[in-house]
Amino acid sequence: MCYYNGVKVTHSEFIRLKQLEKAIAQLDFLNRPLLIGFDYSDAPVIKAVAGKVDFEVTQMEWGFIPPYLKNREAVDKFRNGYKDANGKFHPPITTLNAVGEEMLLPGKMYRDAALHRRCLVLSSGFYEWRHVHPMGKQGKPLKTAVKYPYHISVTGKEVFFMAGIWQPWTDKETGEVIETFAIVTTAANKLMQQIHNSKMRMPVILSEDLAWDWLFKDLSEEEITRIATSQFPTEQMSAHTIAKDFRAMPEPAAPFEYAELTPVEN
Amino acid sequence: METQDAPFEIVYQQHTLKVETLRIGKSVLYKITNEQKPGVFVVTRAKDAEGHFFWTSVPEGKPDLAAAIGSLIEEQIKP
Repeated sequence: MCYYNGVKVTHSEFIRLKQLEKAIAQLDFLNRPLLIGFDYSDAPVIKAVAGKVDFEVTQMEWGFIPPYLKNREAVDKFRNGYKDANGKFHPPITTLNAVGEEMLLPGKMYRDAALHRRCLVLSSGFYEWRHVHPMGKQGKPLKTAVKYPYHISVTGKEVFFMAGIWQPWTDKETGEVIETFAIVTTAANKLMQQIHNSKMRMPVILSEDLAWDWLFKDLSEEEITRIATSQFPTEQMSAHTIAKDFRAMPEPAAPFEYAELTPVEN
Repeated sequence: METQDAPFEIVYQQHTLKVETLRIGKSVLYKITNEQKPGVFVVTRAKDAEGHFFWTSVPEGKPDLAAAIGSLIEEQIKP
């Protein structure tokens, strides 16, 4: 339990009121839909402040940048891949997501952040593509899948929390200091197995109590892994198809029906 | 943050105060200003650990004033 203005309130109420404080003081984050895509954009993130008794809502760059990268050129190479002087191609490394089951393994770039810099990513919903293989003329599914985008959210929640980990990064060329983050992912639940059926993964969505623990508690490695691999219940999630060019639309999450598509089971 | 509803007035200790409704997500807050004085006071309804509603200022501080202002707002917004 916590106290707000001298009155005993629950963790979730305390978080809500603190969010309102931050929104009033400086930010206007919670009203805009949050686009989840491969765009390395800034996104609103909650991180604990020193002492872990309070938190702040801040903007961080989505896409974890390990501290050993020296400058933006190195970051671009890291993210997009590059050919070295000998013509050898080094494939891109995507750090938008951190695999919950693996991030604490020895030597993983996410380990230190998972132990010491956990955060909550605020989301009003996210997008994933369902791959459907249509039947060919010979009655066999075609190799090339048709992809349908879905908007997924938590039923009745305008904003919810995803587990994240963050990393401060300094551009050693310019001295610029930024904060970057990755969203922790886990195995897909029943709903997400049907939608994100190419990868069978989903973001770790946290209940308000788990969000509190993730942000503020001194968790053991076992506890971190337990939360980082938890699956949000299918029954508390909603999903609908959206237009294929949703990124270009003023309301990207607006429902769009595909007559040929079998609905997912919720 | 949005201001949607028309502002209204309350009278507190002989001061006429302007009340604007702010919506952040699903939360409704009330921004109180006094033309005679600088500054803004924001209150909202919160739920205590037993599930009872109470009025609080946001950020914390001046709980008694929040309760008094809140009850005046409540009289205005009652259907």
